[in-house]
Amino acid sequence: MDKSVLVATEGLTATLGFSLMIGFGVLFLILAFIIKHGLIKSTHDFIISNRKVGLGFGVGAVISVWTWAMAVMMSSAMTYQWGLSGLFWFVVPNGFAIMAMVPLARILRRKMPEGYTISQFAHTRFGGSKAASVVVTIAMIFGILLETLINIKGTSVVMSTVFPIDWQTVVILTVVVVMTYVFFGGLWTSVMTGTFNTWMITTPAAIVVVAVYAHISGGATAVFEAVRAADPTNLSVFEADAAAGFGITLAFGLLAAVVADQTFWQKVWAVRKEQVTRTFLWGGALFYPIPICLGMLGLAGLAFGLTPEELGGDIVAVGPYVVSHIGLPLILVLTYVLVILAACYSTIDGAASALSSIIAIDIVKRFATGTREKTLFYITRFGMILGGVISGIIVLSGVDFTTLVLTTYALKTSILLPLILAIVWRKTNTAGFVSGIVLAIVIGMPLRHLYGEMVGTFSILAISAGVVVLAGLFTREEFDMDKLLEAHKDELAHKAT
Amino acid sequence: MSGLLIFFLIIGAAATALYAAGYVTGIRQSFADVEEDKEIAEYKDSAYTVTIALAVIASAVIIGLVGVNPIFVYAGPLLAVITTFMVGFAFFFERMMRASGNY
Repeated sequence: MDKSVLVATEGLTATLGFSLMIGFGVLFLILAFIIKHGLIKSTHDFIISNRKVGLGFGVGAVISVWTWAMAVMMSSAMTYQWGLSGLFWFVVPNGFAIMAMVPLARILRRKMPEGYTISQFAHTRFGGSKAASVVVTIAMIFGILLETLINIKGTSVVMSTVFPIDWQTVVILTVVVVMTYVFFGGLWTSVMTGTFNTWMITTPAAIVVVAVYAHISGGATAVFEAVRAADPTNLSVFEADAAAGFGITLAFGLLAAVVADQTFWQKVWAVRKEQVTRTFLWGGALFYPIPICLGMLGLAGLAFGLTPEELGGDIVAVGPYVVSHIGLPLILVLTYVLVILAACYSTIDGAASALSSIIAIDIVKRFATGTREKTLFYITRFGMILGGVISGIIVLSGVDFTTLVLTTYALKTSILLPLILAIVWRKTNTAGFVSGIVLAIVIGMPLRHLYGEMVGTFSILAISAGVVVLAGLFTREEFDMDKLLEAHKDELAHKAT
Repeated sequence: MSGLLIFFLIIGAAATALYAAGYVTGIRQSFADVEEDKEIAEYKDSAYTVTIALAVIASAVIIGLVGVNPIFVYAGPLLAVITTFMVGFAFFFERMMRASGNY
């Protein structure tokens, strides 16, 4: 296919870029004010929405927080790099990871109906063990910081690439916009804006993709033939290279990213109890079409024979490049930018809300139990803002995220199986839980460094689970799960005092 | 404008209308629930294993079909519109459950 037809769309001014970012924020701020006056009376409402999030908002919020900006662009990038095998390995474990929460969520919502955070569960499950709860709390905070950083970075990359805007200005603006509207409405704002964003990343995204193919001479057939002519294996989902290259490790990474993430556990306890199963089941199943749809942009990139150099050296830019160079009307290019902005904003506000619950329950209420409701409410909200500001400063400093990525990877992967066992296996004990996580990191991370990601990931998973199981088999004690019910009555005042 | 794009604009608009109606219904319900203390005592946890397996298999098959016939390039966008439709429907589905008391 003739790539000389790919010319950058004109009219993408800085004013337009700022208008999109601020306009989105103002819309959500109005919604946040309405929510604040009608739905938020206490910290309980702010961090857990009084456990009254319904099915529609639950499903919409789960889809939106799981659709990171990078997911929007990575689905195209993985298709571009590995063909349909890349899309297969990127997409299939992604939706499954959400649905894998169903059995765990069901158990904890029934056994611990008054819960707020997964660290709080670890604290109670392991008899108030500081080691167990602190390690889980740290893993959650690292995960939240990382997803905030990556999405702030994603917004800055896209906005500064498409518009003539300085990337640092985008970082500051993103933090200010998102933190402003989340400050007022907490989780309620996050689920309502997130549900709006789910619309943005579905129908408008679909129309952009169809329009891209409508602008290609010969349409889907021409793309199909060009991809096949270049390399027929790109049209197969059975290429082992993609599985070995990233697919298998990504599958476990995604599972850890959901199960060991307070962003999702917060929703387990915030959604109406009778809708928890449906929320995660529908959320996972209805998530699938988003990356499949956007992956088709990567196929178009392959058909044009685009090189990484033409994409500015980063294959993640293949989607934005195709959309902004295929000759689409300006309105559709802007729509695509809004799709990515929606994905960014919803993940950042979801992470901020999750952080607010950790601050209130796992930090303030655990270490300063006598804190008054009014004080707690302020600390929770300003702590959440502080998290956003720190993330923004880290991105602005230009430091390499590698250490944070590795630390988060190590913590989340090592916690995954011990946490699942703690929920489903009564014989899981504190010694096994803590030592399993520590040994998995101490032994598994050097193995990862020496032998690569796959060996490292499997080592961490095997060591963490193996130690927990061995420790459980060597003791007679069994945890009475009904103790979870007693432990969490009235953790927070349900009304403002 | 191609016929296919027009088709997607029409179904996209229809799905968006349902989504918007559902969204407004959801907001009203959330505000109406503020003072409501009624707890749902009985509800059944629907089976999930088969649904999860079907969703995973369906996603894999759809991606595989893209490599078989170019028409399946449009399966992703079509399903994305269906996601919009289903999230909009979820608000009404919950309302129906509440009305019938059958959770």
